[in-house]
Amino acid sequence: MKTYDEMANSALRRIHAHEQRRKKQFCIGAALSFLVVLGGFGIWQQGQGQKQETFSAVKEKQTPPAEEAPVYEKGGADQLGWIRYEGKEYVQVAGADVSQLVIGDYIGQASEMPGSYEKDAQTSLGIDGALYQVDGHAKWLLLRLENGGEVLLSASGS
Amino acid sequence: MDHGAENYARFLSGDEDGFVAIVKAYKDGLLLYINSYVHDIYAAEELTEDTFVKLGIKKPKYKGQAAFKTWLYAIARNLAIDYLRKHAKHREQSLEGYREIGDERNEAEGLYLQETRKRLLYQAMDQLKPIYQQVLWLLYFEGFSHKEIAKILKKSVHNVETIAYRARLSLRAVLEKEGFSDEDI
Repeated sequence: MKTYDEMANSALRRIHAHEQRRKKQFCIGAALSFLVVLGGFGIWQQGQGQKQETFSAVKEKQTPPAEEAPVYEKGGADQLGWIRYEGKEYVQVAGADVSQLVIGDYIGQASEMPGSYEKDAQTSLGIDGALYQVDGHAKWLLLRLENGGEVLLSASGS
Repeated sequence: MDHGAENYARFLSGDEDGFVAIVKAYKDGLLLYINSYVHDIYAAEELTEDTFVKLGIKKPKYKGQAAFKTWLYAIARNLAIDYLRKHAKHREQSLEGYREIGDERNEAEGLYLQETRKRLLYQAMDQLKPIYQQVLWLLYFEGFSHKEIAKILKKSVHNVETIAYRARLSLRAVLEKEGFSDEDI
């Protein structure tokens, strides 16, 4: 049988050991909680970054840069014609062989449409022509110029 | 404030001598009380220590003169019941072990029950049902009221009174069988 002092000392030892364990567990718990919070914050920040990137990409897609819209100076040697028709831009395909193409419906005069053939526009090429659709090619237009020349225009980005 | 509560207050304020004083004041009583549950003096000793450890770890707030001792005995009872549940299937011991335990028990009884009359009473109680032993121990040896015993045993006061009445009748029968006269009782 334990004496009073032996039992008291043994109980006190166990109480101290329990308190040490509890302190240790608290420290480990606090460290783990901190890591979890830190990890959560990191994931959240990553998510925010991706959101911003996606947003910028969408924005860039929605508003094409200014240089995409071809601007040509009047009389320039390397001028390529372009026309905006039904919200799309059609740009001249240099050196295209149009002899095999089947002309479709007449669309209108090039001088009446926004673009490099537009009448009185600063960037106007100073020449007009009739604009036709091309059978079998939805993204192409054919421009028959007043001077007898033919120009193939292709929807930009196609 | 009784000494137990006073010492407990000292322990709560960081004085470990207060804790030692509590152990000195309650060890033997708790040991014999727990033994009335587990009937194994070594296990009762361990559970007595566990009770003090629990007191030191939980550090409950003291609510009055009787509350401290009542809480201590209630904890001891819970620990004893937990022990009985855990060891229900492993309670076989050798005869030699019983003899040794008997010696240790006599030593514990001798320390706490110095009056011969009390010792005889305690030994007679050993033949009663455990619940009778527990109620009579708390009533006669620890000086608890029926209300306090009800708190410790988690029973109603009326229930405790009934058990105490029946326990007294049983004890009287045992003492008469042992050859004690009405005057002795």
